Amino acid sequence: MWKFTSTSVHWIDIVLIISYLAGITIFGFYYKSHVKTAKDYFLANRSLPWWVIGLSIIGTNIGSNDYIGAAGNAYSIGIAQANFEWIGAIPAMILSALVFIPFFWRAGVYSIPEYLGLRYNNAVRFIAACVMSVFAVVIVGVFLWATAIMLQTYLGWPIWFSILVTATVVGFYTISGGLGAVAITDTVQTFIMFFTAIIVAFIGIEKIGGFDMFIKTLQNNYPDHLHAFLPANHPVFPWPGVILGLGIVLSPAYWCANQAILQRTFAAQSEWDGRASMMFAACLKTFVPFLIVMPGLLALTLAGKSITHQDQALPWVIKHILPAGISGLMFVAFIAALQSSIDSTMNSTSVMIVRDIINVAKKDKLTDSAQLRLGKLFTFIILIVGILFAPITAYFQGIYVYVQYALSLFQGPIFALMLFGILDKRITPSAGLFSMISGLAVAAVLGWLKFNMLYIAFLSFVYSAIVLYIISLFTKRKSNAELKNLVYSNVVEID
Amino acid sequence: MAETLCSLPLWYAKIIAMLIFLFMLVVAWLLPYDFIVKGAPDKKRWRDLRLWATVLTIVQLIIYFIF
Repeated sequence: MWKFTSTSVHWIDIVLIISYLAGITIFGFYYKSHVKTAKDYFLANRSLPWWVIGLSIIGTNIGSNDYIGAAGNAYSIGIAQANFEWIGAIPAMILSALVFIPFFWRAGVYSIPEYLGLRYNNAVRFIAACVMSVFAVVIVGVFLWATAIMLQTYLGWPIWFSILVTATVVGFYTISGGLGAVAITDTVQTFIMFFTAIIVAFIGIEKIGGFDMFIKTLQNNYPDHLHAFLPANHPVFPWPGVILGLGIVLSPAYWCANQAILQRTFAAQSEWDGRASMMFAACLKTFVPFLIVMPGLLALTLAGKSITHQDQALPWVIKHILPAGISGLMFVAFIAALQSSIDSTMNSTSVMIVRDIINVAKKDKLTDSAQLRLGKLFTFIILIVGILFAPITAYFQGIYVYVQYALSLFQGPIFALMLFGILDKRITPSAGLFSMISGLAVAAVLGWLKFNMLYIAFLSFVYSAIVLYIISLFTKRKSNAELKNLVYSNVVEID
Repeated sequence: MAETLCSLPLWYAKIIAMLIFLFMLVVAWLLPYDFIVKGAPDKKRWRDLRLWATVLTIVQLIIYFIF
């Protein structure tokens, strides 16, 4: 377990943080009146414009683990960390915008497992929902713990108090306002994050002596930190793993099949808005390293290698570089990052639990009002379980790598089902089910054999793809009518 | 295979990354215009998301060329 050193904080910072928390809570109370049906709660009544969704996607994508973990990795390995935002995101986001989102939107689904259920069968839907939900609850715990550490360090708040304050605020507007409240607060939170990042970078570079000095210091003292790729024998981010595992499997799996990310695109007011939202998010994503990689490089340039644990890089920047007021703004950005991720995760997971697990398992289907009631209840339960899970996170070093590792265990097989399910109508439901179950088992075995997470994602994806095609040779496929609007070769307009 | 990969210089990685971006750009332009703008409220030029993809790709190519 690692710890930061405690310090004092200026009253201006406290005022900023409390004002932000109060403002968000008031907004949640206001938005409550907009939610009357399950569709309002889970899909904001399909009313969101592209720019709100785009900003919300970025807000959801940047979590508190990114702030601490990515800054830490940037301190340790340099600009190669930005691959998670560039090659590890943008091609997949273009693919998602142009190829995947139109099918989800036309199918009118509420979740990724629901799409898998339509394309394959309810068993695939049920298993995918269970796996994704378990991961989502774990990640809520990770987000909460990362924030609690930060608040404990700088505000002196006890860990449990920090967790409860952030969880209460985010729980309030997510449970009362549903996806609409989540998307709009995400938009505000993303503005705050970018605004703060620009100020932090400006102050940091000024302190170093200007941009030229910043670059010169990196070039002279840490030239390896300016390479986008690391050698193939690097223990954590070898370049073949980054391209094959991250670029070709993990990233498309995340951007084309992650429920928390895609749910807001299902809520777009038109098919074009859905696509444009992801493309807009990709434009913003280009600049995300400015938010989360820059602090690591600033810490490296100013502190050298004196920081003992890489995850202390961002706290070091806040403590040693930022004046009162700006530190508070940084805390607000950090809390905003947490909230924009956790609210989306909770809302999207409750969709899966209610519609893809309970509704599939039950003989009598849930009514709309029952779905709304259960949606709110499970959002609350997810938050509670996340709170209880948070302390376990402390026993893992390097939050960012830990989260990515967990993702690599199931993204490969699920993405294989999504990709080939959309592109090829010959893939059968039985092949989908067998490929997913055995693919998850293969990923688990590779993890047990201590394979690099990037290779686990790639190998489990390749395995699942091969199995999909082999089993499809011997099993019965769905008819063209059943695959209407679900596969690329069967696109039918739904005006 | 691992030894072969280790022996490859880092610029291979840059080239492969840039090729992936170019591939995505080709995919984008292979999609028909009507498919791309379906659901848009008007047919203004900026609604063509293939143009967005082109700008994005150029920026990324520059980034990977530099780093």
